[in-house]
Amino acid sequence: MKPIIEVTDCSKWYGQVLGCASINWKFGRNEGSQSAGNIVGLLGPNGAGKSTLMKMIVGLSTPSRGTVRLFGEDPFHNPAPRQRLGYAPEHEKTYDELTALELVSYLARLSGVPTNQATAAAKTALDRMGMSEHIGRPVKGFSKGMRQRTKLASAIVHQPDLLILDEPLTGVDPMARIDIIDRIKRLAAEGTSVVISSHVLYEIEALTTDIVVIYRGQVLAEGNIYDIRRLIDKHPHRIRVECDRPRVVAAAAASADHVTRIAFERDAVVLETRNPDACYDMLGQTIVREQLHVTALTSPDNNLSAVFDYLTSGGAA
Amino acid sequence: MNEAKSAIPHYAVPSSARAVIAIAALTWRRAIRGRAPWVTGVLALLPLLYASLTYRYTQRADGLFARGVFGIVLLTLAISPAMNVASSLGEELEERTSAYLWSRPLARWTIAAGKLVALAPMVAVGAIAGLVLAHVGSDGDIPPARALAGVGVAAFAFCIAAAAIATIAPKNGMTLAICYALFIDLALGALPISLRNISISYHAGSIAGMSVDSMNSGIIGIVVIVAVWSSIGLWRIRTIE
Repeated sequence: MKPIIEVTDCSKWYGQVLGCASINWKFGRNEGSQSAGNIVGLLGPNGAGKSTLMKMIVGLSTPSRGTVRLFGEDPFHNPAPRQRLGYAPEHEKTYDELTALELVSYLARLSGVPTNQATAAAKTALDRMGMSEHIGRPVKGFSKGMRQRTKLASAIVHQPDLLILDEPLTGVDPMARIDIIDRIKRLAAEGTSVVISSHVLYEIEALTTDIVVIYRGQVLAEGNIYDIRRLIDKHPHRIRVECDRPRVVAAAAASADHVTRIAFERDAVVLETRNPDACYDMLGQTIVREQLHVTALTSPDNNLSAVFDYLTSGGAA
Repeated sequence: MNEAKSAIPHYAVPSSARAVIAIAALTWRRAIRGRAPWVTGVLALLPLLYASLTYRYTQRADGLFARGVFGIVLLTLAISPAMNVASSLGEELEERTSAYLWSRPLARWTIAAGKLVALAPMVAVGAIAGLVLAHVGSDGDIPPARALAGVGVAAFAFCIAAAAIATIAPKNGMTLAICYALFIDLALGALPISLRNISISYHAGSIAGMSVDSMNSGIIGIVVIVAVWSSIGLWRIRTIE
């Protein structure tokens, strides 16, 4: 039995710019696969090559060197393996003139769902993503979280075996993030294999323990997330909270020992901590206690870059 | 994989015809909610404006008048395919919404074909309506069938050229398609030199009976031009990333 995804000595250049270099990676349920499991996280800072790798896997681009196989076939010029694939790209832009139901219905038809079943399939997919109340609304009025849910619904509408999700939690508010993570986990529990990318370790950690670390176009490490996390936790971790009263968050953070730095930005506060778990706990309690209206909770990837620089420079030895 | 998931049958890979129809339906739905109907409608009225003014002052509906109206309709065809087809395909590629389509089990060319199936008839109907309105609204006559055929064929040919240009330069597809039609195709078509044989508008004039060449040579000329633009567009869409 062949792996679901098999990337062999794969490199991609965009002119002089290196997208990824000599990547070897297998993902699937067959014995011997290094990344067997229902969910695998591609972790790396922005520009590391995660999206480049994903685009080659889904057949949006072709490797400059090496081969990519999806369900045993070349996905670039071969539609057949893409029938078993659901893909949610990183960018937000969709067909804004359409309602969520229309958008997902059309994409269902394009995935082979018969026309007379497409609307029902779209309703089911949107319902599974918690969008049943908004199916008749145009996408252009949607928040980032609703757009992400709609993208996820369009990715699962034809019940694929493999989901490839490129930064599906970017820009999503904390409550929606928890909900989306829960829904992705449920899909995996039902048997769908999921490849998800993120530059935020804690997002990946909430989904899986199985990760592939990509940095500067190369697979730096592959395996259990806790080994990587131990290294990352040695470095200051930044958390940016965008809310209606950032000073309240700052006041709570100031009394916490683990917070080493507090900086203000417009409608936001950025905390630097050496104990991210404790910091996230403190933030959750503060948000609930003070009833803050949080619009974004993000983790800039500088800390991840710092760790990867540390790893690649040989400091880890 | 658990048993519940294993029990779900896979849908069949859609045929190219089904994919083209689905993309055409998607494109049409988006188009009618955008600016396309307005642009096409306004452009269809321009020949009427020209014909009304000309006929009012000359009171003559001769060959010169018919060629003038035909020329104005061709001018609108320099704009309408670019604003409808080139902008639609160009935006799709530039804004990367094509990722939603190309990650599905479709052949890549079905995107361009679907857009043409949805938009080219609209452009053609708009242009033919413009020609009919111009004549009916001025001298009261319905234009000859050859003239209508010439406009219809030109509309489809300009749409294919606009689509191909949009695949080459998605960001500026609309602008370049207008420039190509105005400054290359229409300009060459109006010149008494052999280079006019690469002009859609010149061959459309032959089909319409408004040039010295025969209808057959006009049809052959347009088929060749369309084949060249189609090859460029298909090659580009096959390799674009």
